[in-house]
Amino acid sequence: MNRAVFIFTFLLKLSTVSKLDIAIVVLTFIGLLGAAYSGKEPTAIIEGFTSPPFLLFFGYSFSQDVALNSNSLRDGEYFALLFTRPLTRSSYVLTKALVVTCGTLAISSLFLGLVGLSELVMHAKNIVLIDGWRFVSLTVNCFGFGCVVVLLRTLPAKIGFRCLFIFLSICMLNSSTDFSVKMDQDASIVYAWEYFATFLQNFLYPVIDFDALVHSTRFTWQPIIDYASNCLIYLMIAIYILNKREFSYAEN
Amino acid sequence: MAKAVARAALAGARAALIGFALSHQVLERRHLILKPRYSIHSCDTVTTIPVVTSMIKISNLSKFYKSGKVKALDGVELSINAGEVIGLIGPNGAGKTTLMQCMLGLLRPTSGDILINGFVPNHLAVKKITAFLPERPLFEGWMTGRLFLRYHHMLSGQPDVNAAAEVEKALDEVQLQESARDRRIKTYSKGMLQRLGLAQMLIGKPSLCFLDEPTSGLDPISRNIVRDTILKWKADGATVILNSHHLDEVERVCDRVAFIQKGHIDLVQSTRGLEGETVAMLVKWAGPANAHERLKEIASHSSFGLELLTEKSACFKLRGRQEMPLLIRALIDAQVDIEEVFEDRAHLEKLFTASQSRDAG
Amino acid sequence: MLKTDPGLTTEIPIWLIASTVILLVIRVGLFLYEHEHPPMPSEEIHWQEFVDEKPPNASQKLILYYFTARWSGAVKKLESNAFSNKQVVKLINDNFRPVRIVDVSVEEHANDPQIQKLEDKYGLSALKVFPKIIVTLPDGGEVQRCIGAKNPALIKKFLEDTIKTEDYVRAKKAFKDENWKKAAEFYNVFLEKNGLKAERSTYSVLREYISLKLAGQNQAAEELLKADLEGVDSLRWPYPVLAYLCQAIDEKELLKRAGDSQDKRTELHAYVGTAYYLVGNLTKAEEHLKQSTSDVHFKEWPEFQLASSILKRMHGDPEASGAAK
Repeated sequence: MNRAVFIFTFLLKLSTVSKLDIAIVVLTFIGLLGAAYSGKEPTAIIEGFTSPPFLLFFGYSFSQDVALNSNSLRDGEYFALLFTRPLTRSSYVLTKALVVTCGTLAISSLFLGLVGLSELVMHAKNIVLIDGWRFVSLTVNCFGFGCVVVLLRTLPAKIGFRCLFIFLSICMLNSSTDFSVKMDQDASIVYAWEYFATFLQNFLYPVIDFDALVHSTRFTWQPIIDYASNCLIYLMIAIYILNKREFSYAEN
Repeated sequence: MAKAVARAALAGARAALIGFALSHQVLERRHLILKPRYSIHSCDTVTTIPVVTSMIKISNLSKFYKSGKVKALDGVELSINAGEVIGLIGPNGAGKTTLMQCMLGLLRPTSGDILINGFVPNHLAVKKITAFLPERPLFEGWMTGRLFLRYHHMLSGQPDVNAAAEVEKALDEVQLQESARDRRIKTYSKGMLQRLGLAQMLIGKPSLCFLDEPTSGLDPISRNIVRDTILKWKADGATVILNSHHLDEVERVCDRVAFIQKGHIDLVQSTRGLEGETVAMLVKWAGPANAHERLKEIASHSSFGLELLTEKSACFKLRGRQEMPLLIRALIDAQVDIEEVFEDRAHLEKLFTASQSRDAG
Repeated sequence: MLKTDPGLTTEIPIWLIASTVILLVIRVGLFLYEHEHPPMPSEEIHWQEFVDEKPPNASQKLILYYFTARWSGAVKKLESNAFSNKQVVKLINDNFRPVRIVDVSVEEHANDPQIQKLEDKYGLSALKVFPKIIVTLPDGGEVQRCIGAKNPALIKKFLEDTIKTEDYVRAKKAFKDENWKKAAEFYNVFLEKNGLKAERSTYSVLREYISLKLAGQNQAAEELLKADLEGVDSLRWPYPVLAYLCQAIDEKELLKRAGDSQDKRTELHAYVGTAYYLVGNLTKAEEHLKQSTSDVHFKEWPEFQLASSILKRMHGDPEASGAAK
């Protein structure tokens, strides 16, 4: 748990709020006003802002290590100076995971606040805010995706970027409706594919839905253990990658 | 408007920083083994640990890329003593930077090992006493100079009690102008960046300093600052390892010089002309005409080596600086009209080019 | 490989390694255990036997058909998520008659003929995905469908939405069957439950008015129109038709408001034609109604059916039902 990394990552984001960020927030607010005006259900919008692709997006944009002016894909050089300090790479990863969690939570809350504000402005009859268990899920999922984002950031920038896209597409697939298609083939192939796909989803996804868990007719520990295990695995892989990486700042 | 918001947020964050500083005990780490050696500013108390004679020991270090095709380092052997200033000289691509990165733990050698005070380079004990100035400093452009040094102060694990004062002291030492200290780093010139880099090294109170081409592209004032800082470190007993192309700079500050060529250290030469080391003295005279015979006579009666260069200049090889008065007395007794007697400063350069041609030829 | 020497910068904390390994072991163990002892699926929902639509004097609850297949992983997901959710289970048990149908057409290449008939009725055999949930009226007629495994919140929303629109769907069916009185009743119930600003309220008001008029209850119709006109959302489409019907705007203005949209024109011609028919202006009525029925693309629409039935009546079709029904 490194204090310097924690404080200064936050400071980085606070100091580098660019015009683009503000433009995005304003545009989102306008969009939300429009949605509130046309009477759209805010629950769906809230669900959207707390969904995995968004959390991944927020987390990735929050976790920039250093706002370099030049080509920010040469991040090895930044790490070169950082790791000559007495700082274990594992504490760096863990601190980063915590920071990204807090940051993602802050950004999500900001957008949820915007939703509430838009409803207020549009004089909606009853203001629908996020309810208790969903907020707990949001917090917990922020940590889950914090771990994923940290893993993506420890990879060399180009690879990390591509992995981000792959992960985003997996999240989109997961969050869309899930169905099995009846094929005119041997049932065992279909069955095997289903099994594999479900296994992948279960394995990769650091997500808990407390709302569902609490209201379930049959409470199991499985989702919680799955989630915790996934998070720890991501952290371990991130630390391992960072340990193995070599940081060269040489010109050649 | 956005700037005002950001500034307000920054001020708020700074307040949080101070809050954290006062609560620094909460998140203290438990696994630091060695205490650091504070040895830079003479007014601080110097806590030294009994010095191991060889601080850095590099044995048979090799670093290959692309599964053996590119040999960045090939069997490097070097031993660096505590408290000495050693320069690494070599052409571009010789492996100086690679060697330095291996010593810093940024690269993993393919074979061989490096021991710093008995530890591997990637040990916290080593990192605590290390400071590093990279060749092209890429500091966080969004930070101001002061904030950057505060960041590194916190990173080096020191308690926050005197942080602000120490930051100011470091900035004063490198003579960074007051107006620049609160500007963002992305507006700094190269000279200022280099000075800030030095300040960043000073902040950690190191006893092992690595500098990669510290004076390349600098103006004379900045170069002087770099040199003064290195000499100050030397006076305090720190070990400094220097990569450079500027041979005169190297000669002025370094105790020893290592020549690297194609990933291999050819030669380690002392610049100080210690006792027992050969010193080359160039002599230039105005007359008499048979000066050559007289010089040969001097050489035969003493243990000096002689190399006649031109009609009016020659080079004497002495066995040490202590023989210089003997040489001058001998020249005067032989009634040579001495114009100039000086140490062959181009010595290093000759060695450098000689080793180059040896490998090329 | 995994260094744990506490002095190294590349060390991995022991507690991290230990907890990862322990959790992984527990997780695999739980997975295998669940594999060996699969939990009873959906035992809380009171599934009923396969029922064909019963005559109207049976329970008036909506029927919820749940088509599933044994091999489908998505089905397992739906059952473990949505159908294990207390709120979903309560909703289903209280408001629907749930029927579970297992489709074996992949394993055995053919279904039970009853099941196949049911699937064909709702056009489901062409839809080769599982799971499928279809909510129907007790005497046939689809209310809504939900395809695929969705998370509990979405299923809950689907069910609640279905319950809300139940009356609307019944009303629409009655309207199509030219059962004007019943249609008006159902629309009334819908409006009472959902208010005037709900999504389908404007259409409800419009159709209730027309139904009452066609059922001969002119006074009730006019009262309804006067009472509801202000409360309805004036920005939604059928509002201009309502405005026309109480003579707030004229025909030209109405056409302008419809713009180029073919859907809106079909609807407005049907209603304008009906209005002319009700006041006795048969030529104009026929003109508008013919325009409404010109495009067979809208054959399923209530407006299309309304226009066709009025046309049939005007041409003295003996099958057409009388105005006093």
